[in-house]
Amino acid sequence: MPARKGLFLALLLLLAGNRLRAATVEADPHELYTRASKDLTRGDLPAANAALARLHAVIKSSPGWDPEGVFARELLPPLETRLKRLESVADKLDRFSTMALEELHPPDPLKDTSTVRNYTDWVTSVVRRLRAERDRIIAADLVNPEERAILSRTESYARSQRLLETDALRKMGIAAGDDIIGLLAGDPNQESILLRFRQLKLELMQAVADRDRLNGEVGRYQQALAAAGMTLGAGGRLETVA
Amino acid sequence: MSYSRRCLLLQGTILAAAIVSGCATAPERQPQPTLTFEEHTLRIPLTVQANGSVSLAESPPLIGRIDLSPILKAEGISAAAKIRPVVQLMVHYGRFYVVADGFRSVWEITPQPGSSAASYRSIPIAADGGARPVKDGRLSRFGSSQSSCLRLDRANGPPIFITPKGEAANACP
Repeated sequence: MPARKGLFLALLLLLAGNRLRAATVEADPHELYTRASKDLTRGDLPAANAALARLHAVIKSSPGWDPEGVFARELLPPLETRLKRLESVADKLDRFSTMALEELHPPDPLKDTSTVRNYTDWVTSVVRRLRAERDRIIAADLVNPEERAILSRTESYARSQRLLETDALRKMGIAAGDDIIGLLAGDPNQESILLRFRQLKLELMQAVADRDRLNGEVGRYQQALAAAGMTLGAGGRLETVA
Repeated sequence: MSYSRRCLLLQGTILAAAIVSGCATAPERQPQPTLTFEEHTLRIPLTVQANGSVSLAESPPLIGRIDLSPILKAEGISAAAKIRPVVQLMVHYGRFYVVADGFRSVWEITPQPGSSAASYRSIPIAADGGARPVKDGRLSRFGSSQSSCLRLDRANGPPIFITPKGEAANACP
């Protein structure tokens, strides 16, 4: 009996699934074009690329969708040119972030007998230099302010921003933290600096942990939305994914 | 036959000959010249106002207003409902086509140049042999440059094509 019940339930689920599938309309060129434009505007370059590839496949397999070649000749080329330009700068930013992180070498407190002040100066000057370098890369390839704004929403830009905001500090914290504590410990004149440094380190670690946790939560919500056939559109509105 | 009658007959013959020759040499009406013309939009979603009108300025560069009240009334849809209906509009070679969820027809609106009036008509679409209202409808263009149709995809039936003749069909000719 339980086996029969299970079979019945499985059939019911299968029918419901088929009905749900039948109730969705295949994405057409207009929808894919709109999706690609939106993805591009919100800086999701891989998603924009995927939508454009699908759109090309649709009009290639069924030319009726594009009677006068409006999509192929007029609408897609400017969008693709912009996407390629942004992807190229995003690649440069990725390479920049990787290299910059590899080349970050905080001063050695034991060799240089540095103080917390030296470390702060080091981080400040390094972050300033890296920020200028990154902004130079962007300015060299992107003249249009709108495209710069789009780039600032990409994962590559976010990565470079993390480098400037937390990674440099984290690297300094890892390299110098214990050494500084060891160097300052026992010196009553440096006790207040030592205390502040410990606090800063804790706050920094907490901020990084919070960011990672929030990123994880956002990912889970996005997965749940995608499973329900929804996505988060412009202005935070829920939109249906076809 | 008297002289005067012969004169009249002669004059009549000359007149008739002149008319005939005149007709033969009159310039023939030339067909109007044509040029390449492609005109259409992507589909435009528009929110219906409480008074039943939609503002084209929602989607620039189109501007203006269309009163859809008669169409909504015919479809049995209330514009004053709490959730405002959203219609889909597409301009296709000078004509406007409107559809929305719950419609049983695609509506064709033909502007009357030089006036603020437009004629309209329904193009009934029968889903699955009945008259089920459109669900998740989407207007697109489909066909070739010689025969471009308006295509309506929907969740509750196969695609419908509005042919260049303005008829609903299962395929674009």
